[in-house]
Amino acid sequence: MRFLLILALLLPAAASAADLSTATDAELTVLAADPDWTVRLDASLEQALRTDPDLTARRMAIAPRATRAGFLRFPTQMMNVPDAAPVLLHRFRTESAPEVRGALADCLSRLSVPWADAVVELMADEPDATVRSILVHAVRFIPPPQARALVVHGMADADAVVRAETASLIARRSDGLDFADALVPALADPAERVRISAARTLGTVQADVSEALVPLLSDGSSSVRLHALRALDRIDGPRAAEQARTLDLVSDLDARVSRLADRILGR
Amino acid sequence: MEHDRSPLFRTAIVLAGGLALTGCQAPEFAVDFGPAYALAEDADPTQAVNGIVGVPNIDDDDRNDDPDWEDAGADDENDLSPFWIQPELWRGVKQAERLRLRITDGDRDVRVWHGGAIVLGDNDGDRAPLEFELERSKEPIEFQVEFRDYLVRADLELVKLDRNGVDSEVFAFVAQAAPLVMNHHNQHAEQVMAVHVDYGDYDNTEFIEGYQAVLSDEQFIAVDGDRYQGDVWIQDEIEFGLVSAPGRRIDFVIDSIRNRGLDNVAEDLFEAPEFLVRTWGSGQATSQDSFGNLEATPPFTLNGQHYPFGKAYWGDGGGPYKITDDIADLFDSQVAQAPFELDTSWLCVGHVDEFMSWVPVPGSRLGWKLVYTDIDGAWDALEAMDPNTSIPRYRQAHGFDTVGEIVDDNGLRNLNQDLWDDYLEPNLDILKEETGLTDDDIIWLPGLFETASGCGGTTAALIPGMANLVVANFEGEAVELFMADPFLREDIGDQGADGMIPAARGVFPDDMNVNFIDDFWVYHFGLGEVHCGSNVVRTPVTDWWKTIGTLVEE
Repeated sequence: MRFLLILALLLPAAASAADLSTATDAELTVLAADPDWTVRLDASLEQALRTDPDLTARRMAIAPRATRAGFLRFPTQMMNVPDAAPVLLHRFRTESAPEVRGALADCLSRLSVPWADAVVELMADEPDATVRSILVHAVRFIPPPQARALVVHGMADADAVVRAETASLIARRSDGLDFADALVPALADPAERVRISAARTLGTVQADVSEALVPLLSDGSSSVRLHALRALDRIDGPRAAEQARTLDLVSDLDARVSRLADRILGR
Repeated sequence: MEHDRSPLFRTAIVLAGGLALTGCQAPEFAVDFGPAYALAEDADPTQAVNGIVGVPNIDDDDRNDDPDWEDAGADDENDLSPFWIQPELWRGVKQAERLRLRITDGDRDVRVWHGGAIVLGDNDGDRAPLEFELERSKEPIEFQVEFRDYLVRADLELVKLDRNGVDSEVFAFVAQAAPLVMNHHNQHAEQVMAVHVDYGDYDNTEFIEGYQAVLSDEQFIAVDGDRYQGDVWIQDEIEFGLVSAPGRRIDFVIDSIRNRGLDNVAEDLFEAPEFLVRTWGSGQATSQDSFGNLEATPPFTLNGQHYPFGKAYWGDGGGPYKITDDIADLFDSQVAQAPFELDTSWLCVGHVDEFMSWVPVPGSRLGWKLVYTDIDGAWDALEAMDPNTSIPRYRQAHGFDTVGEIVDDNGLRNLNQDLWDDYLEPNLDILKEETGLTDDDIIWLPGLFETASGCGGTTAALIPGMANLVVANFEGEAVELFMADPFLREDIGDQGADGMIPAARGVFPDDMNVNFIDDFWVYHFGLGEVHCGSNVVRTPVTDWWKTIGTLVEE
């Protein structure tokens, strides 16, 4: 029945699959609950246009602004509330400039709960690594199944920043421990920042991965050694002390590592 | 340098010091360095400049677009430092003896004028004579010293030659140009400014009104954002500084190479014959080239050396993310503000003003205190709040519905602990080492950071960064602090309901007015705060020649 309704509404639109202007409000309500997020999006947009056409038009037109760091964001409440999500998604799909897609992704990531499936799909299709590194922040918020899918995408990303962001964001989930299995392989990632993020998150979620962390205490990167030691300390304090002593980490050339080792051994 | 105290000149030197103190003219003075004389009685002779000080002649009094040094004898010149040979000096000079003024070093950097002509030093690119013979006079003989650049210095001698033309007595003194220094937060404010934007979706009217509610129209100016492409980060574009000498002040805008919308603001608002705009560096700017990343501590004394302008400091973002070498070299070369670096590689924007500031606290050990981000204090304040408190601004901008969600975020908690251990505490150790401050000299202001999206894993303020504050300390008035409203409350319009404001207010002295202004969307969400969006013209610190003579002579 729902399929027929969609077909009836969308087929006449031909070139514009989103033309739901002839749909009744009741029909839109049904479509806005469709399992297919693209259908939901079209219906939600049409609802937004009918409910507040001016606001929707403004959201469609608003330009992001340069942050102090130089990249773009939407520094306005108007684009950071749940009912802005359909416009954000629509613009994201049709926007060609990655800088603007990044700004849209920033808002979307926080408003992603009802659109988790959309975010996962957009993440998979997004060509720009910076945009992906922003979009993956949805990992903090979305339900576990979609979060798992997003983590899989993120940890397999070709770009190290995306992989590192994904790994660090798992630490922000209350069920982050459930994702530890996705992080352990990242301890051997060729990129230093990924090894750091994976170690930090494994320490925060207190995953039982002490053995996997120990090799990182001899990593060529002092930052990796630092965060591996800290993670190990959070997981198993006595083990961290034992390793700090065995590896003489108080003599590490990096003052941060030696200071941490000193603190651990001093307890 | 050894300062000759020959019988002929000894009395003159001491008495001339008295002149500088009293401002009166006494006939017995033999050598009168007038207002430029450095050895005032209240100065430590081991730290004072021993001689004439002045400003470099780099302004454009004749308004021909060339520095006045390039136009020797420019019209309306007012940057030369005078001194006089008083007639009494001749009493100790026999008829067959002569007096000469001699320049022994620095003759390419200094000119000595007499009677409208250059008599010593650089002569429009050529070398003028290195000696000038004085003619007996019953009137004071006036000379004027002109300096080519900041901090240049020449060694001069007043020499008595015996009847055989041999030096018999020598009085050596220096001519010292002022260093370029930048202001620190605790100098008296003269004018506070911020850029006003009101584009519907990009509107900081509340922020501007926050200032206007406290400061007068003379004290605060709202710069029209339309002229500057809506670029609100006025702290980042310009830094104020000056060169000074007795009775002389040349103000500076150090114009960053950031060059975004506010690129022309320095020229539009400040440039004048004696308010110069200069840029150091060129090419592709990094975020570290913005001047929220170029600050100065308040004055202090460390290991016997006074730093009347404090020390300059900036953040190193790691790798290529550092302040341009030209700025670093500038402050290194000026020595007066002996610069140092902090590690800002953990911050998305990477500026030193994101986690610390300075406030004047009269009566305290140093007269000021460091305001430093307090991670533990932030957790304490949050944990004291009702965890069910709805925080709509944080829901929209950070994804937290309630205070409890922040408190329960272990990843956030560990991140902030790590930031403290790896960066905030080591940076504080550097600050202690560089300034001698102690724990008693610190005001701990609650603050937290989180990993910001789009920042490659680096962080920005989660709670609007209150340490990124503006000190508006107009002379004779109570100190007004302006900092970000933390918005840790459900009712956005009711600061009285905020759980963080009492904790933040409570760390400052009671006689300091603390104003929490709305910087949330345009600034905080734009990865900056109140200081980033403001700038302040301040009253200069003078008298540097009394306290950092040895420093600049090195």
